[in-house]
Amino acid sequence: MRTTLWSRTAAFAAAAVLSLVAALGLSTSATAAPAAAHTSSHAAVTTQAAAATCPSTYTCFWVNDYYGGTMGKVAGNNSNYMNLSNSSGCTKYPGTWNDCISSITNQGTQCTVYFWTDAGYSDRYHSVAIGDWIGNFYDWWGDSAFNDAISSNHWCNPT
Amino acid sequence: MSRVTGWILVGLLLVTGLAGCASARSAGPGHGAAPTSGVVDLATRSGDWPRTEALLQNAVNRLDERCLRAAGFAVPAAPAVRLPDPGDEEAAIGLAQRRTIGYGIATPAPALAPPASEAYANTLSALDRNRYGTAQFGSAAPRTSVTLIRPATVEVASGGCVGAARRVLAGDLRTWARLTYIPDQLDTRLTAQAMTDPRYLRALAGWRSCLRGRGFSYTSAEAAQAALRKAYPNSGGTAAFKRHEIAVAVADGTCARTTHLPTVLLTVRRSLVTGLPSDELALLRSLNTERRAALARATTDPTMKG
Repeated sequence: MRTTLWSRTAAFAAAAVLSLVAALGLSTSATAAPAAAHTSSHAAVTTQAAAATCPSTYTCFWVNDYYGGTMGKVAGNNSNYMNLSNSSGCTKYPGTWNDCISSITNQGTQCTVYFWTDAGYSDRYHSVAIGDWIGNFYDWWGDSAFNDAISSNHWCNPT
Repeated sequence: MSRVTGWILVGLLLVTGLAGCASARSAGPGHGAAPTSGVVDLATRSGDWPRTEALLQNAVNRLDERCLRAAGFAVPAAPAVRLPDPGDEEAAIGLAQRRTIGYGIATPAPALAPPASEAYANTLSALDRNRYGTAQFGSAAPRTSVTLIRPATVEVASGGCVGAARRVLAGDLRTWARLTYIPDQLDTRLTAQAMTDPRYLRALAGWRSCLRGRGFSYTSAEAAQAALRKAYPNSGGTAAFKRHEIAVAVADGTCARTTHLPTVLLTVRRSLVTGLPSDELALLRSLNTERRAALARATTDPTMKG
């Protein structure tokens, strides 16, 4: 699910203001994550908030981009997100996490997690290495077909 | 306006205009030398890429484990990474799995236990788990935002053993992130493009005809799965539904094998790399060079081997 045009516009506007401040040589406050220096303020702030809610050893995902809306989490392999309960208002397969994920992080402790677009670890896969954050699937792949498309996950190896 | 100011303005306009032309050229489709097989492999995650990518991921894992052990944590080795080869049509279709669980929609799939390497942190006391987190990700778990193919960015872990391993392998964090994530971006885009290509659509028409001959009518494998997923919640997950799912999945796989649909898709994907914008081809060439350097380090440095 994508955020509204307004929130994205506001994020870009905020980023533009920050860029202008940087260009003018003015200082901004530092954050724990150096990411804030590069990415939009919207993404950086919400990543900070999301980091506090996604526990270590889990991979967490959200209904909306930039870690917004309901959060889900898994610690093991899941071959079918139709069986993964989700109380939020996902429209494709209500009540499940299937084809519902728009942003993701891997807060596992050692391994990459591989996310598949079909159940049973099949069709196309995307990998997320440990400690990494992907805030916007739509921007990543530039195609709405690949947003809200995750259906299974596997740790350490694709299958 | 003085003549000097006028000439400065003319000069600025010329420079801006030339820059615009250069920018427009760089955004156009690729021309010049055909992309090397290494570049095509990289953009499509095929050819030699699965083998070499597994080598790179294993190298990072080995470096990370050594670092954690040096910090006093007896971490088990992460399983060796093996990546699917899209050129292996039999594996891509996975007929044996289809005969057992169909698409995996109706088969009960309880969450499995995480691998031993992931479970290790849970065996530690709360204090040691915090120490582990600091060793693995650094104090306050810093991250760095890296721009991929615009507008996409990824925030990658940059501290602790993870950050160090990535830097040792790739030279710097930005290179590691781009080597890790840009092939996924391009491959996904090229796959979407390939699925609308006339060569693929011809093969898909053959697949549809084959499927009809087996008693099923779907526009694509994706449509078949989507229809089954929609029907599943109301089906009660009965044995009859499971049998139907397996029958559709097997017919789909058999027809994919008959029409060589996965191979056609891969061939089209690979052929589309030549048409990528020239700036993206230049990026791929540069990444391929950096990747070769990383591979050289991974194969010669004993600390990166298992």
